[in-house]
Amino acid sequence: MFVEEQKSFDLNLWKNISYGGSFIFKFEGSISQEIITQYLITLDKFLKKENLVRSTKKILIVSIELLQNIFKHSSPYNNIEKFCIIKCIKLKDVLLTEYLNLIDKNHFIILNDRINQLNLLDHNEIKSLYLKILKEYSLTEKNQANLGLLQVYRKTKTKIYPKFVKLNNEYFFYILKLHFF
Amino acid sequence: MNSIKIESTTKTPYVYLDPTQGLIEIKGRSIPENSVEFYKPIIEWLDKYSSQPQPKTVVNIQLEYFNTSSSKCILDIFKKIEALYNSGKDVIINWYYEEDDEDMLEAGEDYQSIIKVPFKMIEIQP
Repeated sequence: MFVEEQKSFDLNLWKNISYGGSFIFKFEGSISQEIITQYLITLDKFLKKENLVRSTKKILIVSIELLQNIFKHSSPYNNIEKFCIIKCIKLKDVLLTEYLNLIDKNHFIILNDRINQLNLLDHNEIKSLYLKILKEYSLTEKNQANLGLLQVYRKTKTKIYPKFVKLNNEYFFYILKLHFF
Repeated sequence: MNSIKIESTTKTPYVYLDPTQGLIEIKGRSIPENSVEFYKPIIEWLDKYSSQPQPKTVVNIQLEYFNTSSSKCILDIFKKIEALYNSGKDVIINWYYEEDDEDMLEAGEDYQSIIKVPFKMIEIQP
């Protein structure tokens, strides 16, 4: 897993990078249910306009899992509760989505281990694990299925390699970049 | 017992539960933040219905897409239906999905592999 020190990461630069594409959606601040809905509606409209209907559901399914996870797990940053940055960029043949939020050290350790484990599995193993958890485990007290990350793997059919930026001994930025073709 | 009708929203599906017809319908998008809260009245209705069910219960599911916490709640509904089936009642789950919608087809197949009741996959035109 790639952990970068804060001194080599420029948040202001990162949030404005469009990689030569055009922004379809950009948000910085406290994530809310209204922002999640607004993002999904924008994505849905864009994908239908671009005639990417077959990809639409996959992108929406992945986005909802990631955003609801951010909503549940984000720590405050600069006194902003549930701080996050959402970027959705249209590149030539690719839709690029990037998400940044702040997580505490415990969550970083759990997430890092989980992603390292899942990156060792092939698509069929991911599917089997998804079905096992769906079948055998109940929702947690926080109304979590523990299936969100697995769903991201399952729908994107790729490994994921987030970047973690260490702010101090307690907090990390969690940055996830996903491409949809 | 009463029927229940819940209109759809941008995050929750249309729900219709009719005890006289033995009909359970869920249609639309299911991405509530708190899925347990949304599905709780449905599960409670099913518990009551199961004490005096119709000879045949038909479950129609036509979902656009749903989040993973909803997927657990939908499985809970199917487990109630499975219990009815195991008690000797006639049940059928109809899972509707749009042509070319491989995600909802796959989701239906997931449930079909877990729940041991008559489960029909029905392709529809968008």
